[in-house]
Amino acid sequence: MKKRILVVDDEPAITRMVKLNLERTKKYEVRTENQGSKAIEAARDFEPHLIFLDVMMPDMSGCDVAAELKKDPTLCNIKLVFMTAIVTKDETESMGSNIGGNEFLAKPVKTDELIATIERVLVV
Amino acid sequence: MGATGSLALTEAEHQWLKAHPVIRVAPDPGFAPFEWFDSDDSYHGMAADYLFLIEKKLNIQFEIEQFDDWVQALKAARSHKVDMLPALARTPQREKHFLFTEPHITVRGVIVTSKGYKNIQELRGKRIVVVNDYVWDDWITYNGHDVDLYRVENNLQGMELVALGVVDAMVIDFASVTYLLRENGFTNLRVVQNKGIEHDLELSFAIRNDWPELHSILAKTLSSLTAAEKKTIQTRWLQLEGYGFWRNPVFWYSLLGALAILFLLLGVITFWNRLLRKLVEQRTQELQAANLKLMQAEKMESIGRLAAGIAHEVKNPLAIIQMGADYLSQEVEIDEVNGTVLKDIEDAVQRADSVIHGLLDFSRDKKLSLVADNINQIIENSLKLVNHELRQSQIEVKTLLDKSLPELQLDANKLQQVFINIFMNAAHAIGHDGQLVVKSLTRTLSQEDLVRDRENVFKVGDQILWVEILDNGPGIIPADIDKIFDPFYTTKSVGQGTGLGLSVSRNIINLHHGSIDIRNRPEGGASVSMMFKLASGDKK
Repeated sequence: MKKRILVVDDEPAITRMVKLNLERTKKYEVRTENQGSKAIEAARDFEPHLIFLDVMMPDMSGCDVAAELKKDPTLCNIKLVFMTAIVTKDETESMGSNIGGNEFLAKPVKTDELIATIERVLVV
Repeated sequence: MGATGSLALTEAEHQWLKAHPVIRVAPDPGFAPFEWFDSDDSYHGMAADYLFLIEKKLNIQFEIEQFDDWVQALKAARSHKVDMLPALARTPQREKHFLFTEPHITVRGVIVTSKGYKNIQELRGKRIVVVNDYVWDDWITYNGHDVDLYRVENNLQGMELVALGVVDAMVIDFASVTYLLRENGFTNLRVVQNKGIEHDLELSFAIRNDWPELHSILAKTLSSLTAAEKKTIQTRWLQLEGYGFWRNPVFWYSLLGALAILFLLLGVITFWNRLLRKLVEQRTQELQAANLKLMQAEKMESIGRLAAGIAHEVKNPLAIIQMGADYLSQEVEIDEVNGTVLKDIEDAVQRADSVIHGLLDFSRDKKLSLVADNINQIIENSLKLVNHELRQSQIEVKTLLDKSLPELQLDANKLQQVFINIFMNAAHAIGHDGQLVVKSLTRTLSQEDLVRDRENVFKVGDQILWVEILDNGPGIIPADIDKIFDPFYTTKSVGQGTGLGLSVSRNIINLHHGSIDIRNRPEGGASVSMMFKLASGDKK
């Protein structure tokens, strides 16, 4: 069974690239969402195993989305991976790549890193 | 009559004082320091002070009469033309004419000589001078000393005869000697110290013998004087003991000691002053440096805020490019050309990312990750990375790298960023067809080299690793030289540079405790120098 991955980022080219790269491995089914405020609805509908969540989005920040997800008992167990353009790689490392118990990736991120992260997070 | 209350004068004595409002006194006009008249005819001296004190105690006033000399004063007293003498030595002969109080002044008799006599015995048969009719005249005569006696009119005359060597010695009282030595500056006279004369000069008030009431009143008054009152008079006129103070070695030692201490103190104060001045200068410099740092920090803070915004805007497109390249590398057929294109894209993303990285680092003053490294290796790697650009601009690169350079603790990534920045700047300045020379060497800093130490971290004689990058471009416009390291300062057209390159570079070199400088070469083009301190023992 393919793992379902939801990608939330306000930049459509980013969600498109992530979708293209992940789906061509045939291992993942990817849905994309470009508005933070619609992420919850998409999650309920799609029931993803993992969500890639941009931190800085104009309508609703990734952190707020994460908080909403945690409140909902049907969604609270979905694994989250934050992606951000602000924090450098060095800084994510120094934070233990983990904010609020979630994985943290710094853009620009390579496809290999994305896949490695998914595999690591979903095994746990 | 409050002042006489403690005197316990009898009623008769009070009455006597009232009945005799005028009491005439005849001082010796030249008997310093006991009594004398100065050039203004004012009466001074120890006896004078006693008289003034008695006047105050009895609330009376004496009438002072001035005679030409002592003999006349004495004669006037004997004939009751005056009523008393303030300072007279008691002799059996004088007792026939005067009533004497207890002595109020007692002074040692001494021998003054200009020769080396040690005691009175050595003066046997010698020429001795005394003042006519003074107590010493009587003393020598009555004691039958076997000397050749000369008589003069006053002490000063006698001292002069001794000083001139006309006589061998003078018998005189110690107080007069002290006073006359001080006033007249005799330098060859000395007081025989060991054994003087076993006789004191004792001076009393001498009152006409038909006035026993006055004698009684004065005797009572004198005995009522306190020790402190007597001491005050004594010390006022007889401050010196023994030799003239300037003859006393202790005086000179003390003076020398005091002077030495004074000079030492002055020296210490001067030294202290200089030290303080130096300290103030140093603190001022430190303050200026701190101020500069503060300004720099403020600049950095605003850059930091800006950098965070830029990072977001740039990193998203970079992410798209990166993943786009990832996708294409899987989907297109990878031949040599496609492979190179994809590799170039990936490198470009990495470079752009590392610039943003550097920008954030720069503004956050991050620590270096130092590893022992050879700077030549870093230079060569950097040249490889810009090789393409340089070749395109037909810029020839010449490297003069000292192969025996020691390894230093360096952050290779950050230094690579510095070198790339400088190489690209040079290439941009040269434009087309030029030469870039990169040198590395170790050297001992000379005074001349120090002008290139922009950060003031080195001193003459320091062993340093020196990297120099020379180009033959047009050089830097002189007006720009001071601003060249300022953040966001750029001469490139919009979109060609952020103006951060050199300030980031400077920051990185500073983090390595080094110094970077850029200036024009006399022969044209620019020269960038970088200095790094060699640890002791690093010298090849």
